Amino acid sequence: MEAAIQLKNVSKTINKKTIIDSISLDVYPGEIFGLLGPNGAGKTTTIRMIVGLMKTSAGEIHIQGQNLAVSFENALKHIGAVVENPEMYDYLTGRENLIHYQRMMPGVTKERIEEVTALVGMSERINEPVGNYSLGMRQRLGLAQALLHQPAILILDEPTNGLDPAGIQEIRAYLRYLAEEENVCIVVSSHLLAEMEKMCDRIGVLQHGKLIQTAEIGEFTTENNRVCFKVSQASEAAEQIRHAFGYALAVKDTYIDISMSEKEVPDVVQLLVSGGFSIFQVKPAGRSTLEEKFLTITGGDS
Amino acid sequence: MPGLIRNEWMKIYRRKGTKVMAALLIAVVIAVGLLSKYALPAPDEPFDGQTAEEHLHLIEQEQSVNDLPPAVEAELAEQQQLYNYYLEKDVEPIPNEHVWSFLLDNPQLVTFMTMFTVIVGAGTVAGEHASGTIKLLLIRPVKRGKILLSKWIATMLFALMMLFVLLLATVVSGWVLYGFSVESYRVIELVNGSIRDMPLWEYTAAVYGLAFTELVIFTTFAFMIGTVFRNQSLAIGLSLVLLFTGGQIVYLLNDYEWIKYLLFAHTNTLQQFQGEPLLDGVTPLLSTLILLSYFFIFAAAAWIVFTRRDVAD
Repeated sequence: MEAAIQLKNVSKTINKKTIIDSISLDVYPGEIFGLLGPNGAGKTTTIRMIVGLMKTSAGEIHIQGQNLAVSFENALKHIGAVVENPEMYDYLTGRENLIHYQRMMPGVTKERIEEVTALVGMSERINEPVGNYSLGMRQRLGLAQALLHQPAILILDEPTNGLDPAGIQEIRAYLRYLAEEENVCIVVSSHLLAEMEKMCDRIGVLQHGKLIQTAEIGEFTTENNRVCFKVSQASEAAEQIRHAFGYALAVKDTYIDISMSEKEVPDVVQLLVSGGFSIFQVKPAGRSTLEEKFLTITGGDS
Repeated sequence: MPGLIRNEWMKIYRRKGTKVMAALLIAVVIAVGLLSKYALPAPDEPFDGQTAEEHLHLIEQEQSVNDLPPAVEAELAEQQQLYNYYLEKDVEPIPNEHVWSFLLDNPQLVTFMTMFTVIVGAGTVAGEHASGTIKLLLIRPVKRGKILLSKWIATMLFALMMLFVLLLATVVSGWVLYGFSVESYRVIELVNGSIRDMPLWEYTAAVYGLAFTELVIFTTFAFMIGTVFRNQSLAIGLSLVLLFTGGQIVYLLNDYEWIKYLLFAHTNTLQQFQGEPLLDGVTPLLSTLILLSYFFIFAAAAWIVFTRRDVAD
């Protein structure tokens, strides 16, 4: 499958300071990709380069196969985005704002404006000036302008910021629908890790301008499971396990605490049984959440 | 492109400030009309006649006085030449208190109008940066150059609309104050020792058109400063200070040769048209070339910065 967004060794240097350091990344149609990282890690800069607000210092960005630096208009017509806060013209009504963006994108009809307005649940307030809107309503209008031209790629910076729980739920469900049914490629960034965990298929962790890890959301949450074994002769058993599997583990009294994935538990049990150890208990010792994982990866300096 | 211009027009037109500016302009025209009709004494006391014959008669009376200073004598001779021309061609001068003299006095108000267009021009890009709307504007599949051009065009359309308001307000208030008239006149003036005879509409177009070039150059300057520095106040301040002091700067420094390459030596094209150029030896051709050069420098600076800028605010 061809990537919808392709970053090839993208770097950004501002005043001789490297903000983004050679990021390569492919994001595919139909997936929700989360950009995660502490403040200043370069999430926003990465997003700004993808939507054409900033130029890359080195490397290339391809949108649906089009090189952004070469065919700007052809690349950007596939993207709908909200960059940081959805700041729109306060003195214009919601509808006028949408008309404004509609005129800038080829092939968007007036009916489509009504459609997206209804979609984000703004039909009743669309003729009011945006200055009267709450942050949540601006967020919805922001989503509406991003969806106006039915883009193949949707990029949302902190999409749930300012929404109430019901609104978050709604947006999450809608993004899921777009990814699964309309095959839209969605990139979100958020500092709310729990939120990312619920929303994304895949996550890339940014730190100091480097993409230090990308993984399926499942890998993030299961690979770092801890399992606790209660066995006889714990320290001897631990030694054998370490020798056979190389896991990181801790021994306390008769308990061995092992960082491992669940699917490897039978192998460990087999080893212990064949080694003549008695197993009294095997129990999960806690699932590390994305948040813990994130702190481990980034060294906790967020 | 038409869509982009409509967008920019909508953003100018829907702001509260725009209507306030138009209202202020109308108010100033009316105020100037009332002042010149009721508050100011009629100028040109010696030549207070209405018809060309009356004027000539008054001039002869003046000349009969002995020991006139040479300057006055020369002036009287010129006036005589002018009114003899009127008689010869059998045309009447435009009366002092008439809608058309009011119209011909008002190109000065274009400078007042320039203040408003400078404000609009300064804010069209800088305002988008200040409100953060620049981000959602520039992520569209439209090259930045087109967006910049549409903003400049919309600013100029605003200037033209204001010019139309100024002309309409002048003519309508002129009719109310001095009586209705659509009678056509000719404008005859002595410029640099020779007679210039133009139909009224042509003369009006010329003076307002020339006053408008000053507006275009200052508005483009404000537009450029606002684009480059993303700061509307700076752009307004700088443009207005230069608009009002440019002439003085040239006057103070007119001993220097290079002063004639300064923009402000050429912005007051109206003075040149009336035969009183700010500097000696400045020809319309030189002025045109210099104005065009500055215009392209401003446009290029705005263009280069806007199309290459990393938007990070």
